[in-house]
Amino acid sequence: MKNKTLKMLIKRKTALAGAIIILIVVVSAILAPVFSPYDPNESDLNKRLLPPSWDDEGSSEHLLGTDHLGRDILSRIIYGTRISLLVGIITVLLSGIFGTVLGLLGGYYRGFLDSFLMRLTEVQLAFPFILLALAIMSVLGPGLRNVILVLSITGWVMYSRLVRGEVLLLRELEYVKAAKALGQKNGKIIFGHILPNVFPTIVVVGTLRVANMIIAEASLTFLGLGVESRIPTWGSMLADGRGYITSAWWVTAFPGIAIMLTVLGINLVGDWLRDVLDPRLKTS
Amino acid sequence: MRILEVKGLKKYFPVKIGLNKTAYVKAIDNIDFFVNEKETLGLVGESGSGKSTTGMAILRLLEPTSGEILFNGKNITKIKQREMQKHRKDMQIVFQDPFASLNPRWKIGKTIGEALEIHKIAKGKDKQRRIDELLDIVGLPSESKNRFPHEFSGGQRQRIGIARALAVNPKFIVCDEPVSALDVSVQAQIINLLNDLKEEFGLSYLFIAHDLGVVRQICDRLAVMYLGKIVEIASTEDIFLKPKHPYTKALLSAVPVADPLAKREEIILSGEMPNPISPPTGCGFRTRCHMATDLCVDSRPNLEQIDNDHQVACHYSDKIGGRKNVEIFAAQTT
Repeated sequence: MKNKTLKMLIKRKTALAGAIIILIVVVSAILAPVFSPYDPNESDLNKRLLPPSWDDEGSSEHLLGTDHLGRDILSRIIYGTRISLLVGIITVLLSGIFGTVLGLLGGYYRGFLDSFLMRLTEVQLAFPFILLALAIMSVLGPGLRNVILVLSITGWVMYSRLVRGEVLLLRELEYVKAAKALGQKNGKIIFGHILPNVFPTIVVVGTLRVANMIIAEASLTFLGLGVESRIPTWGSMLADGRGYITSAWWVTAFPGIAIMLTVLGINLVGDWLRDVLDPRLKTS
Repeated sequence: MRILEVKGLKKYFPVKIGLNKTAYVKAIDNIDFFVNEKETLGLVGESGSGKSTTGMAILRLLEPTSGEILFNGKNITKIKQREMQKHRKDMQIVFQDPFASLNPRWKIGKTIGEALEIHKIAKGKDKQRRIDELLDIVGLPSESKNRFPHEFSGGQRQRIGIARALAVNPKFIVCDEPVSALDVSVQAQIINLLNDLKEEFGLSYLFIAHDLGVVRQICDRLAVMYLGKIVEIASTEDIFLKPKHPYTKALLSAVPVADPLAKREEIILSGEMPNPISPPTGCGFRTRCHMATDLCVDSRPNLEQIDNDHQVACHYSDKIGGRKNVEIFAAQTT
């Protein structure tokens, strides 16, 4: 079974490409000190805003150039994967699990719980995300743990609404009624019959949300409420380079490309995962 | 011995109209019937007449608004769902849509095995053996258990649905239009299968259908529903040969006959079934009935005994003569 899944991964070129991207990102996050040529915080003001090495004015010492403080961009991107990946994946998992469970319960049992959850969701969706995040962060204070917390708290509504909608449809289907007619327990119907059928949707949305979360972390960091400034993140790099975008494009372009590639990789694998989870598309 | 008895069953669905007003859709409005042991009662009527709602309410998949459901003499209308679980083993359901009735992500073996697990009928090897046995009973190879629903045709899926229902050794099965979604040739196979199973396991069915040609093949008695009420109930033969309700007559005239020369009295109903939120006064069928008079507007006819086991709800049932159904009946039988 596992062998078959692996074979399917290799057969599908796009999924394989996605998997390779994710692998590279994960490995560079873990082995950042090995891969990065410089200390990400080591600044050399004599080498400020050096263009990438292939540029005429570039130096071979800094492959992707340096930023406004003369820090090596490649090293900062490699170190930045740690935070971005951590924030992206943990917040999606936390908010995804929380939102999914609440959506399942609300959609299945309806009644007061459902109304309560949906009103809460509506309030939260109507409330600007940044404002809510600012309010929470100003109470909790900045820091990585709090960034994850805030993003998870604000992120679950997406899943709960989505899952609830799907559950409303699925609970009326005949195989759910058949399970009820057999006397199956509600818990088993929810997690055995309904969850597997909403899972593909959650996976696809979840992979898309990883990108949102990486960018949201960047926004918070940009506002000075995110991760401490001495820790390099892709978001803070974008924020730092913003002022130089017309004169030194590479300061923002490379972290931007890093975000884009990571998100692309996650999406490709997410698409593949959705298909693997669907027995209808599996060739036996 | 009656396996199922339904008394004064009602199911109203609340519908909000405007801000504070609630109207009720009277999906089932005060119906009475019973099913004898080893008997098949057919429940026919057009879409929206409340047939399926009746089936669901009997199994407590929908909570009835009022009335009583007696199963094996025990009133199961108000018992708690937990206590109901014990009775679920004895009463099962086969659904209409073979594409929606099986979980697309579960292998067939798991779907059938679920029933065995819930009621602790068999475990481990016994369970596998029982699954093979059930698949064999419904005429499918035992390898089917390792396959997913999408690998089967509609008729095969319906067989799987039947196997799942049989897994718990029920005494009574609600067949909710089990053949309506199938090709005619496959319909015959499934009906034969249901008939065989009835013989073999001494089952009773409540067979819901809108196709009179189909119910003719399987039902001992028929109940005709219109707008949430039973308008006529009698033996299948009596319904076909001596229908006493104008609606039954109209339904019968729509049954195709395999003889192009047969003379047929065609009654084409005009209009549609009235909105069950605001049903007509008096007789529910009067808006489409060619015989309706002022009496039908003013007073609602009750279901009355007119013959042995033949009940009808029409003021003018005595004026409805037997139509020439003999040849239709004969054509259907042969």
